Amino acid sequence: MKRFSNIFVSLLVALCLNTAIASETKNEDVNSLINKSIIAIQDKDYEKALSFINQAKTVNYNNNNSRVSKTDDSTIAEIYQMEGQLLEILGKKDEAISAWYNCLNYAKTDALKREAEVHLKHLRD
Amino acid sequence: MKKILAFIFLFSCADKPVVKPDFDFSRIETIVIYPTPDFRSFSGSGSIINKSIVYHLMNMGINIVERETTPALIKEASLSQTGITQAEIDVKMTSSDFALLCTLTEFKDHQVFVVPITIRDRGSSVTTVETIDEPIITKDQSGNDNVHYETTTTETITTIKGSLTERESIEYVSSRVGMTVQLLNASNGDVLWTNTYWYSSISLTNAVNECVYGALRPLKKLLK
Repeated sequence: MKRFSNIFVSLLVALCLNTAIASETKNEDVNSLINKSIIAIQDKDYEKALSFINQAKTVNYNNNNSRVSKTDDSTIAEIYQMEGQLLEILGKKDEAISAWYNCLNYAKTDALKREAEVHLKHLRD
Repeated sequence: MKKILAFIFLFSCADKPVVKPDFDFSRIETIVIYPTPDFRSFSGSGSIINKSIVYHLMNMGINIVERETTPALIKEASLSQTGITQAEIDVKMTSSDFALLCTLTEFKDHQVFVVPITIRDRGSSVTTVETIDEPIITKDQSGNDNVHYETTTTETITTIKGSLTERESIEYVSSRVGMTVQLLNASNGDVLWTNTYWYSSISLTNAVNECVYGALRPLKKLLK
């Protein structure tokens, strides 16, 4: 029984270390995907840019579709901001409204909150 | 709940156009458009906005007359409501008594910045404690085995050195267009309607189009 508990503790330590490394990798992935999306926007390839943004969104969610951590809310808000603008230019109004609502919910700065409000009012009127 | 609160906030703090009360907007059939000055050093920005204004007003079913220069009366009326003389009122306004003036408050194309980021890893140390229970077998006087465990504990400290990692992040700033628009009664300089609006987009063309559409949309309801 004692041996089992020792093995369990060792496994727990290893799991914690692994999670910390995985979390860092996820943040790296998000930044890389946002960068790729911006490059696609520069090339005016908005569908491709949107596909990178959609990938960046999934990196931040686990299998239960709940947030991995609350520390990167500002990044999430920026992802939704880009998603909203891309959906607007692609003519997907309803999806854009949903993206801007999410942006408003996660926005940390007054400027981004205001931008989300302006877009929501514009799209809903 | 969060969405409902956001919705209430959204519509309680929205900018609204200002309208001269008791004016019959339905009698406006033709509007004269005067040149919009360029925003700071953004050459051609005024012209871009003007073409968009013409497009949206024509879509509303309004007749448009474009003028190359802004008459003195209109210039004064847009600055101040006071001090308009009878002589100025007598200035003949061709085609229509109604004029639309626009001022750009913002005109910015999208920007991309490459920001160098340095990540400092302070390092870490991990202490692993391993406990092993060694079975010790002894025989009693009658020859039976007696088993008891002796615990041995080993402690290992692993230190991971810190490091500095440098990488680049691409920051994106959207295109943004802002404007103030006024509808004037050119015969007496009265401001009949005014609105201010701004919009952002990943494309400057889209930002211009949506900003002008958003600014003029309330006017469409009045002109019906």
